[in-house]
Amino acid sequence: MEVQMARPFINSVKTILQQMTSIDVETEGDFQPENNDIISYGVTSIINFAGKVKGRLLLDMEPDLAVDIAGRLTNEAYSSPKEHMVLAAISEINNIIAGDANTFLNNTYGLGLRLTPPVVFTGNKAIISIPKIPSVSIACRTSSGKLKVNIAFEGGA
Amino acid sequence: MKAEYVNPFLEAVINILGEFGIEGIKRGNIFKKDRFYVSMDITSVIGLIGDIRGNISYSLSQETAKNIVSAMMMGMHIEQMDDMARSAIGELANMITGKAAVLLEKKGVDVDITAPSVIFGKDIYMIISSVEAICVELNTPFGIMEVGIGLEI
Amino acid sequence: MKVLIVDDSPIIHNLLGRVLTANGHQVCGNAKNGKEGVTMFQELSPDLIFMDITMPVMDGLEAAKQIKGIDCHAKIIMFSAMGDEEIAAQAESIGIDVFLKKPFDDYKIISAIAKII
Repeated sequence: MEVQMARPFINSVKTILQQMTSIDVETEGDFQPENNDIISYGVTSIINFAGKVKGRLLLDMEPDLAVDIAGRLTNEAYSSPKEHMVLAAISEINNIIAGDANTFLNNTYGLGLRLTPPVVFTGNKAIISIPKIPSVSIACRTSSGKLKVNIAFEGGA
Repeated sequence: MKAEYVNPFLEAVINILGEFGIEGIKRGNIFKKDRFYVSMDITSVIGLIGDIRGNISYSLSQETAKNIVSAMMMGMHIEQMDDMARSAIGELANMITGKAAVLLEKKGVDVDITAPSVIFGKDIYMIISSVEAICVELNTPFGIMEVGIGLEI
Repeated sequence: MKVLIVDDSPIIHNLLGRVLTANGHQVCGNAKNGKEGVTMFQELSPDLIFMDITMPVMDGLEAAKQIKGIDCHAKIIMFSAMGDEEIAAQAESIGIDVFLKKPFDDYKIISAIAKII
């Protein structure tokens, strides 16, 4: 999978989180092929997109980071990632990030990508696999916790 | 959400499982939830884009999954949910949703389906759409399959 | 101004609502899809509508068309997580004056209001 196609997503993660929550995202190393199942840090959001190619953005983060993001977006305090507004916040932020990256890809490569609604979930040691589709991951950290950004493309990207 | 959009997914489950010789599937409880709790071990999620946007989730226990994968593999004994079995569960979700897409197309609704994501884990709180999802329990001979239909229509 | 917000995310209702209130406007309603948006428009007669494009039941483009059909002078600021040329063109084609791509900060929101008045 071309890492070039993944870069707009990490750029959007950084820009959007900074603009909307003032959270700085630092990357650790570069994109690596994700060969294994992803062991969730605690809160995961998945958004798929399709057009001339199909793909998926997965954001996975520690519960404290999810709660912090939700708190900063709404100016409220939350105690658990299971709360509806925390899940809604992660869902919306994933939507905006994927939208931002897709806008760039559409304007640059004419891919005509459109998004599905986001899926968001929190569980106990959840593991996520996306059978057969190659993906790349980049590890990130913030002051509130760790974040992993995983991007998959199919259809010859 | 109109029944005409929900039924194609339930018909598709019955149809596809039927292709693997799994018969006698019955509808159980139906409920509407915006945030739903999944107590099953395995959940596959597939997205829809086109005339309808949405996500569909299929949840099963590990035992039910092993038995269904066994049926998909011509009766091969499935010891554990290894890479191959997980791939098969993802493929099952793909086939069911693909069949539902064909049924929807006959009603003039064109959708494209995305690749499945398969989630392993219990005690999961999940949201699959901004509208309330319709969660249907389907009773199969191997146990319950919970189908979550979150269509933004 | 009396503002109606139409978006399927409660997060946007909260975020946008706080920015508008902080800048002296009053949020008269929060609709969660285009159909509710049209109904609330008729009931509440807002001075201004902030509307998302991608929503269930009825999307923003359709709702905007209907609202403009009721009152061609209705002031609508449309927004979307997607901001590519095609989306922007669709908004323009139905006579939307201002289109914003999410995320929007305070400055973008206030400038958009200034543009439309």
